[in-house]
Amino acid sequence: MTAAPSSDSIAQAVGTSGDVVRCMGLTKIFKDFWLRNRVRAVDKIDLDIHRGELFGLLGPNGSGKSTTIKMILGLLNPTAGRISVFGKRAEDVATKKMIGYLPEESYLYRFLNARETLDYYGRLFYQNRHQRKRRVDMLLEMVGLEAVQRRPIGEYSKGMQRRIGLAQALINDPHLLILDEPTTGLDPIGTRQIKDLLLELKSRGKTILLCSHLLSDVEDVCDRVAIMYGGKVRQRGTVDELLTVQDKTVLETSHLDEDTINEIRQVLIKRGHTDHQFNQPRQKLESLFLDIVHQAQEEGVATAGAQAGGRIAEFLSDEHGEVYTPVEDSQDVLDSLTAAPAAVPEVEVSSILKSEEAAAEEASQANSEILRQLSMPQPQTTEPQATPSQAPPEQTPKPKGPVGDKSVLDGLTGDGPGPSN
Amino acid sequence: MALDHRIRNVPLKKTWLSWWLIWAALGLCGFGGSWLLRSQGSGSLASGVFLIAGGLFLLWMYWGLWQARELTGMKVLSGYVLSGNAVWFLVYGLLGTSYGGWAIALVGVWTMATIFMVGLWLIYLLLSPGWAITGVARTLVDEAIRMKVALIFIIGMVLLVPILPIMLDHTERLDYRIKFFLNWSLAGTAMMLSLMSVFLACGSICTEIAQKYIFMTMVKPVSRLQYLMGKWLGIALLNLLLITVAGVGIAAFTHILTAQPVAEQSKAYVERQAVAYEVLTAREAASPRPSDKMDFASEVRNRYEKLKRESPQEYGDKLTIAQRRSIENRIVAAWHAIGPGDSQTYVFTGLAEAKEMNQPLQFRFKPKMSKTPPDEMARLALWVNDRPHPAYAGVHYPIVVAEGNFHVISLDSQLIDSDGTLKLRIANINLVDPQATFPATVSFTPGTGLEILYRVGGFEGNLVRSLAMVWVRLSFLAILGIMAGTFLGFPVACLMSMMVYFSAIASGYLAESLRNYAGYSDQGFNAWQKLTTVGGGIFSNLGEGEYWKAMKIVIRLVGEFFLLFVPDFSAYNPTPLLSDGRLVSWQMLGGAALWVGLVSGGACLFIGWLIFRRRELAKVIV
Repeated sequence: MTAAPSSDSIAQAVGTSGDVVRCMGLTKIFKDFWLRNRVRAVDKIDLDIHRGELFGLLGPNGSGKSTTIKMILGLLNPTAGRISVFGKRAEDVATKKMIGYLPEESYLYRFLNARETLDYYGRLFYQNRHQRKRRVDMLLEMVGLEAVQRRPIGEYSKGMQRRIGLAQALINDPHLLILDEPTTGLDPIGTRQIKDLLLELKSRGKTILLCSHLLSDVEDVCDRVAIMYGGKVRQRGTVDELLTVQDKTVLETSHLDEDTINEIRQVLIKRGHTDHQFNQPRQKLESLFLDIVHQAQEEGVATAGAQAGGRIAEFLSDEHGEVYTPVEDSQDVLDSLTAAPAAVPEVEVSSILKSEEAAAEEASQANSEILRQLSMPQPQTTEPQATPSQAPPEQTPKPKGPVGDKSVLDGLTGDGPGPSN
Repeated sequence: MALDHRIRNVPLKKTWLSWWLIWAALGLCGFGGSWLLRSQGSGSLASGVFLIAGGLFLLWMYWGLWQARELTGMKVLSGYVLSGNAVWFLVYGLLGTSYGGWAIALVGVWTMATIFMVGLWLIYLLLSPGWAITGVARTLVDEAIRMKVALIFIIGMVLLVPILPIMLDHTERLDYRIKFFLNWSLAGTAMMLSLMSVFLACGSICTEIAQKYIFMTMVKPVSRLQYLMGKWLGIALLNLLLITVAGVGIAAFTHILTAQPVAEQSKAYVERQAVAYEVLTAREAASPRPSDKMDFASEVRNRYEKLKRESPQEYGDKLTIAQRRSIENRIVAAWHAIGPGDSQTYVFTGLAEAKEMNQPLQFRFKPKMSKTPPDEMARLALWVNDRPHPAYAGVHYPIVVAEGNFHVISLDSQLIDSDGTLKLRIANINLVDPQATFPATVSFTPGTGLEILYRVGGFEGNLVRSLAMVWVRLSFLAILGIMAGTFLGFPVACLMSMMVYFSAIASGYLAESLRNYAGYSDQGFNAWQKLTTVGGGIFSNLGEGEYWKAMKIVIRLVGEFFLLFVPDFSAYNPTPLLSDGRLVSWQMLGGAALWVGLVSGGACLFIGWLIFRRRELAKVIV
């Protein structure tokens, strides 16, 4: 049995640079049958992925994302340039012990069932029978495929295949996780789960390379992103660096009546801010969808597909190589997601029980306070918080915490107070 | 249900102990009681008890299986038990009818399928360690069992052996029937498994590359060599299992056939003796050779001089290889021919082992007359070590046998000289009336037409070695298919593997054909001499305007180069040896393992690895 590399050995492999993956002048040219250069899929890109970060590789179809990943994995040889993964060549078999990979499509044996599939990939990591069984059980529970574990993969829906694909990518408790379009084919619950899982893995010190053209996925979870087009990296940086709009301000508050809005408008005009909008925010479709699914599950509606995923597999270690020990409040992801609407009605009921007068008074007080703040000659960034953001304003979640962070989850389901950064 | 309730609420061990006890009690009381009643002479009562007890016994068993259906492996066990019961009921019904042969075949199929299932389980156990090679091998076995192409061959093989005996002509001699069965069952098994190996090897690699399944394996800590070795191991183990299943089937049905009635009761003894001593045995063979090699060489020279005088245009100063071979063949054929009234002495050497083993010798011969006598019988006289044979009371009896057929005469092994030599003199003469000797030459085909055979082993050992040799050949085909799959698409890889396979089967014939196609002699030449001979031949032909002759030399060169990479399967074909009761020796098996398995297979693996290690698996050609 080959043990997973320790934190020290990884640190040694990564070296002082702290880069898990380094690409220098990486170029890939595909040739035709007559060996003539035809397509420059990747063109002299430089890429560094630091240890413990969640790096997003963005780009439209054919921009060279998957080709770059395949070179990092040693499935393609670069035409020019160099790659090092954990300080070694990409083709080095030893580095593969530390890598988990989910390709853009399901490349799993159709004749094997989910359990056999995971068992097979466990063998490739020299895991003994006991270890394989334990990990397979946990992963099947985590991805919600326990009930269909004996069905051949060929009979799975695309989303179920993505789930089992993700499970196989985690079978070795990888230190570098490479995910190529991980949310393709997944329902919003699965998508949400994947995003939460990525954040959880990141919090445990895993390095993750996320390749996607679904911008919201990347925006929600990534620390840094690189945007590719035509085989070149057009822009790179942290998400905040790239997305923050410096010349606009968004104000969020509870509902304002028309009079208050007019007063604010007057203040703004008076201060020379003629270009402004007042919009009613909408709930995200994702939140609505999760509510409906949760309701159906509460009603016990039968499904032949994947079930709600369980908690994260315990064997997935943290950055010190220590395995995860579940704590009491560590609910499974979907439970956390779907528990919010169940818990909310109590709040809603209590809110409803409040007298209309009290509510109106509260609103009036709030409006007055906002006006007072706005009317001040030197506005302070006290309540309500004014955050620079892209217009139009909406409840865009920016989760930063691990799975089960109620504020994040409540924000996602639209029942909580919303983001407060 | 009561038992259901008990199973759910009572500790499992206790519940099942009760079930086992009741089942055992039913069996013992029912069947024991029936036996006791029968021994007391109450036949009808015994039958009644037997039927009732048997019914209850089965019902209780089915009930237990149903209750335990949720336990691991119970579905497989239940399926096995039910199919077994169904088969045995069917067989019981068929045995008394004219479909008795089908009943035996059905039992054979079921037994072979059972052995296959048990063997498969053993393979899974063998491949259970968590290593990359065993992981790849295990998945290949799963692929073979679950994908239709390989499964068709497996089912075909399991059906072939039991069904073949039904197709035999029961009016045929028993030993011929068994020979036919051995020949076709072994050859059919080898052919089907060869095709399966090629399709599986090529299909597995090519499909994985085309469908990109291989990405998922090669991004794991698996080297390219481990991947190829894993694929080979999977096919080799599957072949081993199927060969074992076939072997058990062949051995069982051979013994079933042996017990079958002969076509003519009057020849029962002869036929059964033939089966025992000429088919179900392992015999070593000794062929005669000229007493002096120098005589043979001078005979070649004399003939050449004579032919040169007769046709100087055809025979130049130096013999070509084809001319030499032709002369040699004619000398050997002449030496195996005896004119009317003449005799020829044949010396068999190296028989010390036969003398030591004290086994009866079989003098096997096939006389062929230049003109067929009216009664189609050849009349010969035989002397063994200059003593008449057979001779009773001082009378030398003639040997009168059907012309054009194989015949066997039993000889005492103690007739062999202490140096292991046996001298046979055969005369083409009618001993009863020498004047009535038929005026025709009698000849024997060199090689198998005149030989001494002696038993050195049994049928079972010979069968095991034959199967092992088939397995070696299959293992080579597997690695060949894998090698082809590393750089070719599925159809082309299959075609290439098939071409090599059929070339390997016919390699002896192909080499001979190529030598005759472009007839230049390179016998005993070193590489440089061969090169200069070939180069000189091509240029001289081109200079003389004989372009086609030059082309033929090039074609022969290409063909011989191709044959360099093709193992000689014809030298390692156990089928005719087994069906003819000849020894498939350990030396022969070792030679197959060394040349076909290690050298040829190793070369294929090395080439495949060289190609595969640098192959870009995700490469696209635009």
